[in-house]
Amino acid sequence: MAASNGAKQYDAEKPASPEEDGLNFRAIGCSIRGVSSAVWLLLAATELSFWHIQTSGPAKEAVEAAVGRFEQRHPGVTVKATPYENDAFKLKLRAAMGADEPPDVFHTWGGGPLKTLVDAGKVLDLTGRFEASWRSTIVESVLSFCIFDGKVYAVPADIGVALFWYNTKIFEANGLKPPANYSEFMDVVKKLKAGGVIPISLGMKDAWPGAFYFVYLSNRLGGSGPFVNAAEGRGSFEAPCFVEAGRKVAELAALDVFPRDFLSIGYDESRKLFFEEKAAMILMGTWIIAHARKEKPEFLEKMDCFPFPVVEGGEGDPSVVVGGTNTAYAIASTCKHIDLAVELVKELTSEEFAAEWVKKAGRIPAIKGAVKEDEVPPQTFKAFQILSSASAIQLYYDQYLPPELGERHKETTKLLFARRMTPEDAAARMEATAKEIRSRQSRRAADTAAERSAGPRPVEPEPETTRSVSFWLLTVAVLAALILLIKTILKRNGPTEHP
Amino acid sequence: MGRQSILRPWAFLALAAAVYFVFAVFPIAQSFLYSLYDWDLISPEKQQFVGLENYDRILAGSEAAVFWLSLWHNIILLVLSLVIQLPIAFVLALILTAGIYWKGLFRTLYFAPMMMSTVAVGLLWKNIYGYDYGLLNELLRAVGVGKLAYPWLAGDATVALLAIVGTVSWRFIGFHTVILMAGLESIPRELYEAARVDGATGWQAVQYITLPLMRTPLVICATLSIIGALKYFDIVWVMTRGDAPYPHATDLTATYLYKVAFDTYRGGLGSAIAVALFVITMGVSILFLRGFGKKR
Repeated sequence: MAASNGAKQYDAEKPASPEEDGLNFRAIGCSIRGVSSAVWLLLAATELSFWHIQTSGPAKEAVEAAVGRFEQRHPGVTVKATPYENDAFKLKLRAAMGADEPPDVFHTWGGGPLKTLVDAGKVLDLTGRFEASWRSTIVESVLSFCIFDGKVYAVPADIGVALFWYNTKIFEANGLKPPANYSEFMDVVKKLKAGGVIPISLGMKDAWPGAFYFVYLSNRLGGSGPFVNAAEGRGSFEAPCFVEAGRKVAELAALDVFPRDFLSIGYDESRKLFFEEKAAMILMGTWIIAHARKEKPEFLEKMDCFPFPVVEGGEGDPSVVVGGTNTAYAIASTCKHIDLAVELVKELTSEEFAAEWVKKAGRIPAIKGAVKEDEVPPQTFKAFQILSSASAIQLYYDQYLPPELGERHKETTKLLFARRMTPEDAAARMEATAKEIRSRQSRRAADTAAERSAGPRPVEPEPETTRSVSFWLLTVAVLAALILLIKTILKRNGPTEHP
Repeated sequence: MGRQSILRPWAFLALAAAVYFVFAVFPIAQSFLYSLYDWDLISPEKQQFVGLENYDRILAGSEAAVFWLSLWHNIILLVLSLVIQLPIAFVLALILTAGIYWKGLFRTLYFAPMMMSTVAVGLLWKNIYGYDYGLLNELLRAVGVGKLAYPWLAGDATVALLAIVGTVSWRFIGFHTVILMAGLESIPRELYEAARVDGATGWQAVQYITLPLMRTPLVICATLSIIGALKYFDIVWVMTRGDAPYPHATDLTATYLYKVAFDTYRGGLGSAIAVALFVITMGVSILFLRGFGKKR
């Protein structure tokens, strides 16, 4: 206000009188304050928050190098990069999304969980800013995991595929070679068990390593169609390929070829068993290469891989690999510096990043042309070859499905491995959960539609649950509370008895 | 007298009351409210009022089997905690207050497990119980009974639960010991001398002097044990997530709640479980205190 006064009253033509000098200083003071606050606003404003999951090792270095390059190319902009451990990250992101204070740029695995955020309006639609020149550098098959309704919501930086990694020395010692089909695989496994070593390392504390088996088996048996149909409500999770896959899983579990406590150990212990040569094989994603390089580099020379074998009698394409993008980056819809955020994502998915990702961490980037045989670890190149000849990448089911159904899938799979559920029951449970989710979603949609149109509420079909139980319980509780209250009041105000 | 002295206490309490209200009362009330909705935890505007449906589901509907199973596990933990922790703690307290030399050292040693972070305790014991690299099995193999080596957390569900109860007991026995020691030391020595003069044996002294006078500390320990057992989460979560050896095999109500709310994005159902747990815990505590508290 003083500034505008000063500006109004200060006239260049008029000679500066003593009073106007005073006003003049005030004007300058105010404008300095104004300018400095604008500068402060500018400085404070150009900070991007970035959450990712590379907490250690070469993967972390590659990400931080990309961030560094971004900051160099955009002076005045700082990136606050915070790595979180995998499961802690999921929780923190959820909490931040719920509180509407998400990081500007964040890591994602695409698929169902990302779609949940997209449906809640928390993720920025990148389609307009994802130019053709950028798009052409990204591998399309993993990009599809980040596209919903034709719109791009995240850009992948990494491809992870699940393959069988095996110990070449143990195989040699037992006179074995990588199996060409599933029955050969069963033979190999039995021979390894007879040879006194744990045939397959597996840690199912978190269920996803075992889910690989189920996904591969159902895909090899029935192709990719049944799953997509079941997920979208056109088909069913009780389709024969799922039941048969469950049967094969139970069969494998019955052979006792996993570590004795595989139901309670996790990925860390299971890979330790593999690296320390107590187990001969492990079905795991390509990120295990990065872990091997960091934890037991001398084991790498005995480590090779083969694709999941073809299952005889199956209708699925045997070249399909199960995988996903284990690192993609999305931008929150609350981001205030969208252009800068897009530039950061570009840097994180650039060819420079890809070169470091594959050479230092041994992981396959989602950027085309980054994998050259002589520059990358041999295991990475072998995996890359298998990936390149794959006709498609099947996304892990728990990443494709909405979170509730994904959890149910992991739960039923673990029950199958523990042999506490029949394959038919497991399939039925999945289908029942899918149906329930769909009915809840449609009810929610009907509700919001009714609210929007502000018309009369449509009559909702009564849910099948026994409505009466909680209702009666509540009634009894309220009555009991009332009786207690009345008794207490009566005791207080009633005639006091004197001895 | 007058208004000043009535207002003053309230004024001093106001801040504490405000903090308590904001961090304890209000969230509980919010939970009650959320439990009546179908909410996906991240979009406030997509809530849908469903009334008592969530409660129906956990009490008699699709989630009932898991809910009652997890509550059953809580009860097992509760009973075993009382039966294992309190007697052992009492005996230890008796021994320590009987006049051994390094009382302070032993008290610190027994209390040490309480001072460790629960995550550290969970991870430590998870490693001890491991099959291939676990300390327990290695010990058995080292003394030649390798045949007894067992996947403690991954074999039978009951064994896994007992293994977890073992870890929880290891952690809390010291806590109860310290409380009971304080209680024992407040009993005047003259009573024991008088009892000796009257010809009472050691056991009779404990029966007629120690136990009656230790009623309050024992009730305190028992109440803490009960409430703790009903809402226990940390160690079970770190050791098995409630899902080893198979899903929900070692689930407690709190771990089940966490998975429902945060892994499957069902905030309303999770709140319903929380409210149910709250009501149950409150009921049990009130009943217990009524039954065993000051009877006079």
